[in-house]
Amino acid sequence: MELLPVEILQAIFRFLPPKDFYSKISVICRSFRDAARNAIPGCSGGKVGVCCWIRVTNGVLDEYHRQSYWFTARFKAVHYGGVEVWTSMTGISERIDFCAIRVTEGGDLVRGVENVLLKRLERRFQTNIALAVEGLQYS
Amino acid sequence: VDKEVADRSVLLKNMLEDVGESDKPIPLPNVTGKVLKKVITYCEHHRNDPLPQPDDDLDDTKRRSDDIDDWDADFIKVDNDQLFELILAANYMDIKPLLDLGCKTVANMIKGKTPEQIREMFNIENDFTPEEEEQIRKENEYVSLPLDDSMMLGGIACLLYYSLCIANQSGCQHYHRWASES
Repeated sequence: MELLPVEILQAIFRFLPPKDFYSKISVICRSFRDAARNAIPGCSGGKVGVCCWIRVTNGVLDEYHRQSYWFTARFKAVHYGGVEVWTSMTGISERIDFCAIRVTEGGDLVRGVENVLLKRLERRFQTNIALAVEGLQYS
Repeated sequence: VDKEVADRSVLLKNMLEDVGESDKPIPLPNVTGKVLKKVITYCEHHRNDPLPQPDDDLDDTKRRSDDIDDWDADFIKVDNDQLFELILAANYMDIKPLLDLGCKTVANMIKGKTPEQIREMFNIENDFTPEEEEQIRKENEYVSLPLDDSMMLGGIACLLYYSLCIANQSGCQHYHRWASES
């Protein structure tokens, strides 16, 4: 079996539940470990596809400024090797790289996206930002 | 073989389109006669199935390995060598449903087994040094895994046990208080 081409080993691994994949495949042999590096269980390809809507709200406390500056923007984040965040509304474009093999469930990914995006957007807007990731899906 | 059956293979479909109507045999150097016969049986059975679409893989429901129908399950009951030959042939001939069937079957064989059992089942040599193996195990401990049913049941059992202990303890305290008061 270890003589199967890498792409076939990866196709097999993608049908495994994360528990079996992460706890067993990498320790079987070198060829399995190498193939597992670019296979994500449950994903159709070697890349994690992420789609989510991210609501960014400007947290200005003053009431006047709240009305003036409060905004809700939607960003579509797509992860192909990283997470690219873009929107035509504000021209924001961010790319976030994750170690794909560490992504095992939506929850981890949400936290990862939130943590990294928050810092990036805070720097960009130079203000406090409340960030919520909605409807995150990955495939 | 009917064209309808041959068209299940994207490789053959493209070759037939390139060559056009011809009686000349098409060479398939990477597939043995025995495996080809098995592949044809599969394609004949599935001749009327809808052809796979490029974005089928994005559908999460199609990434499951427990949706093999009875005919396919019976068809794929072969020894490991033939199973891998079928997978390789399906890959070479570009027959995605057959490739998926083979991959799902191997994945189902791996599920629930220990690494040692997997090595034994597929005759795989462990080519790691003990240090490397330990290092890989540590690396994978980082990943937080979702709770599976057995862990959930274990957790519920622990909670019940501790609830009973607390109830028992408070019951004893009540009894002692009642006994000392009376």
